[in-house]
This record gives sequence, structure tokens and C-alpha cells, in this order.
Amino acid sequence: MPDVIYVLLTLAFFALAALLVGLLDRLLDRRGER
Amino acid sequence: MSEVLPAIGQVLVLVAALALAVPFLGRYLAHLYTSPRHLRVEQVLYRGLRVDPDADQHWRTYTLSVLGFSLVSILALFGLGRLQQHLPLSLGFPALPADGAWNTAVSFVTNTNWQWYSGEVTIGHLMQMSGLTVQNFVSAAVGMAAAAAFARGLASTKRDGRVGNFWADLVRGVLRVLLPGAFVSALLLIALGAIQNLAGTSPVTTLSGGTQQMTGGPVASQEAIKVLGTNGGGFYNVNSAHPFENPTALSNLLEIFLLLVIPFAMAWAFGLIVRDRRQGIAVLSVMALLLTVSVGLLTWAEMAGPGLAPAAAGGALEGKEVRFGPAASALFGAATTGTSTGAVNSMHDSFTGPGGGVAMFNMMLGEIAPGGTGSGLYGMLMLAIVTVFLCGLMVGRTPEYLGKKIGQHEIVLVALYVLATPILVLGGAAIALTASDGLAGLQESGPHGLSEAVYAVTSAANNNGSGFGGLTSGTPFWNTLLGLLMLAGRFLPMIFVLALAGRFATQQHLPPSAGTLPTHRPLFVALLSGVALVVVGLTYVPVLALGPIVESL
Repeated sequence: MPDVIYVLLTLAFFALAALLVGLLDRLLDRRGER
Repeated sequence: MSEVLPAIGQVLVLVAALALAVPFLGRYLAHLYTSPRHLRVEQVLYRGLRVDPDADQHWRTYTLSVLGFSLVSILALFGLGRLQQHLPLSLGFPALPADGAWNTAVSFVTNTNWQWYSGEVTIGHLMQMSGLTVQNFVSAAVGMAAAAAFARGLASTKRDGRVGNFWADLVRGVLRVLLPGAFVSALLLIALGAIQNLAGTSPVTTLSGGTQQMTGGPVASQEAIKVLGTNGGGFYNVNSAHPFENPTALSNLLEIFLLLVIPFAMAWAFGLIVRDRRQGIAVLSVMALLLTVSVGLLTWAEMAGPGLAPAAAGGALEGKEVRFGPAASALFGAATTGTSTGAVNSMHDSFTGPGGGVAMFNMMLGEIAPGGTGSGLYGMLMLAIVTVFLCGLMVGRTPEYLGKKIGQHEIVLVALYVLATPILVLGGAAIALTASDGLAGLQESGPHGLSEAVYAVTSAANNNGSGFGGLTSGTPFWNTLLGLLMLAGRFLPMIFVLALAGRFATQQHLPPSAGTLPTHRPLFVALLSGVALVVVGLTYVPVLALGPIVESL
């Protein structure tokens, strides 16, 4: 059970990091167009 | 006087060796990260990985490649730790506990190498060689790749947001720099007395007639990349204080040289990549200046610092190997916390109050003097942009750095970078010091206990990995907290750096004008050094005042 928790924790962190990358990309692109 | 001369002598030898090696290695690195040519063995690897090394990646793709590679690395290393008892060469050691295996996996993939365990009684040879040592190579190469991408973003004139190819950077860093460098370094360490074998545990009779179990293993090969890649995870619990890892004063000096050479060379390479060598020299000068100050302060603190015992013994000798003495321990301590290495040849918990404070302050600087492999360079460049921005505000001109405008969006990314690590450090310390599980790990109370906790979270969030000592960190609470800090402390700043690289790569290059602040002159070196100290000072002085400063009074 703890194994699953730590794997999920890792996956969640990297999913959030990937979301942050996407968010920054959209924000920077949109701002760059202005 | 007889102790001062060797102390100065070892620094002069180190400076001379670095002065010879850094320009050569810097030129090599600059060529490495800008050349379109691939070696045959690299082409085979790219085919195996099914990647196109010539594809110039957008910063988003580059960053997602970094994240994907690191995610797979963590899961693989976690699996190795959990399955250790079934693996060959495990020396009979059981599987790591879930929290410990996860902490170790995160620690080595993020180039932190924080160790909650004693290596010689916890980790078998297979995990050491195929797990930890492999990550020592690739995690260092990931940092170098990110720094190279940032430099290429600044130098780019294509206005397409592309910063290079992560897979090519990773493979080249490992195959052309770290592997040959570590191979030669391992041979030198073996020649100096470090051990290298696949032996298990052997009983030896001590001088007092007792019996002690000594573990052999592939120590020299692990030691070489441990310092060359600014990793820091030792084969033995006492790390570079162990005579099998670091046998003599000469091997000690070699290890210090190895942990400084790539970070300084990356600064040199930066100047060549942006096609203005003076810019690299300016950055390198700030790194050298800050490191010199910390070496001086730490050496003074350990040789002549406060305390009756140090005064009586002629130096603070507690927690230090007598074959190194206070000066060589202080030089190693400043170098290991100025880089993101975290290896230790003495126990930082036993440093004098001001000595421990200097080690902690070095990490709080964001490890930019000279910092980790790659991470030191991009950390310093982010502060250079803060400096340019502040100077631009003072004279009322649009700030620019190397022909790239520092506008609202750029400075927001820099601000996020600058704020991320302090939030992690201070937030992590607050959690640790308010949770009963956190307090249970501290050996001391009062200012020294605060230092133990703050040092641990600072070390984790800055991806240093050195331990202050005195903290029992092998508990689910500390393993999980420090693991999260290591993850966020590595990848959040890296995301902001690569986003900024992409942003710069979309801009056109502006020629210098009368209003451009020269960033290669001594004035800028002084300004950048001041900004680094002020930014860190304002952030961390309160907690330093309650810990090492009050302890020194």
C-alpha cells in the first residue's frame, strides 16, 4: 500500500509540473502576441 | 603560522589547477553544446531511444523531455530499492522501506543525494552501480543540459522559442564529459588509495583487539562521479571522511578540484556560447569572489573561531579527520556547499557556530558559487537578470541582458525562480518545526536544534544533500517531507529557467546602445555579488539569526 502512495505522489507531482509547463507556455504565447 | 601556510598553500594549488583546467574544459563544453555533429556511439543510442537528435526542440518540448526522463528514472530507482533483496550482489541486505526507497530515488534523480541511511549497511552493490551511480551521471548531465539550453536561448536569433535538443545534450554530457572524466578520476583515486572491488563484508581486528565489519565495494568509481557531477552521495555513511573514499590530503584536494571544475567551466562555456567570452568571465568572477569569501570565513571559523575547546586545541577539531585538519575540512565544506555536492569530509554539525552558518548561507545563496553542474550557472544568470533589472529601474531605461529585453514577462519568471526555493525552505522548516514527527527527529533543542532542521530543509530544497548531522531523518515524515522539497526544489526552478530560455529565444537580438548596462565589467561583478548577498540576506537573515548567529554569541 505505501508503494502505491509513493508512486501516485510521484505521478501527481510530475502531472502538476507538466501542467505548469503548459500554463506558462500558453501565458507566454498569449502575452507575446500582444 | 605553521598551520596557516599549508592552509594557504592548498588554496593556491587548487586555484592554479582550476585556472589551467577551466578555460580548456569550458571551450570543450561550449563546442559540445553547440556542435551539430554526433559520435557514432551516440547515433546508436539515439536510434535505440527512437529520438531525433537534430530536432531543435521548443522550450516546452525540451522541458517535458526533462520531466519525462526524470519521472521514469525515479520510478525505476524506486523499484530497485523495493526489490533489492531479490537482486544479485545485494549482500543480503533487505529491501528499502517504501518511504526510504522513494526518498533515495528522488534524492539521486534530483542530483541532491541526500542519504537517510548508512550506505555500507543498506545498499547492495547492484543498486549502487546500476541505480545510484547511473543517476549520478545522468542527473548531473540534466543540470548541464538545462544550463546549455538557457545559454542557447540567450544567444538565439531565430525567434522561434527553440532551445536545442534535450536528448542530444543529455547523451553528450554523459558520454563526452562525465564518463571519461569520472574514469580518469577514479583511476587517480585508486592510485591515491581509494578502494575498488566487489567484496562483501569482512571482519577485521582493530588495534584494541575488537572486531569490526568492513564493507568493500566499487568505491572509487562511485567517488569520482560523486564529486565530478556535484552529486555527493557517499558509498559510506561518513562520506569523504572515510579513508576508503578519501584516503589522503592529496585525494582530498583532488576531490575538491573535481567538484569545482565543471561548474566553473560551465560559466566559461556560457561566454563562448553567447559569443562574448567576457560575459562568461564576469559570471565566473562573481562565483569565484563569493566562494573565496566563504572559504576565508569558514577557514577562519574552524581554525580560530569562537569557543574554548578550539582555542585549547589550536582549531575546532571535533567531527574532523585529523589527517585533514580544520583548514582542509573548511575548504571542502565551503566547496561542497558552494556547489550542490553535499559530500562531506567532516561533520558540519561539529563546525563552530559561524562555520555552520557559512555552510548554511552558501546553500541559501541558491548554490551559485559556483553551484551544481549547470544549476549553478543558470542560478547565477537569473540573479544577473535581477541585477540588470534593478539597474534599469534606477536609471529609467528598459533593462536588457545580452541583447534581450527584460520585460514584464521575463521578470515575472525570474521572480518566480527567486521566490520558489525560499518558499520551499522556510515553508518546509515551518512544517518540520511544528509537527511532532519533525521535532522527534532533532537531537538538540534551542538554536542548534533549529539549525539542524533548517539545514536539512535547505539542503533538500537546494538539492545539496549534505547533512548537518544530529538529525534522525530516516522516518516516514522526514523522508516524505525532504523528498517533496527535493522534487520541487529541482524541477520548479528548472521549469522557470527553461521557460525564460524559450522566451529569450523568441526575441530578436538588440544591438548595444548608449543606455545598455555593460555586464562584463568589474562594476557589474560587484553589483551582481551585492544583489546575490542582499536577496539572500533579506530572505534568510531572521532564521539565521535564531540559529547559527545566536549560537555564535
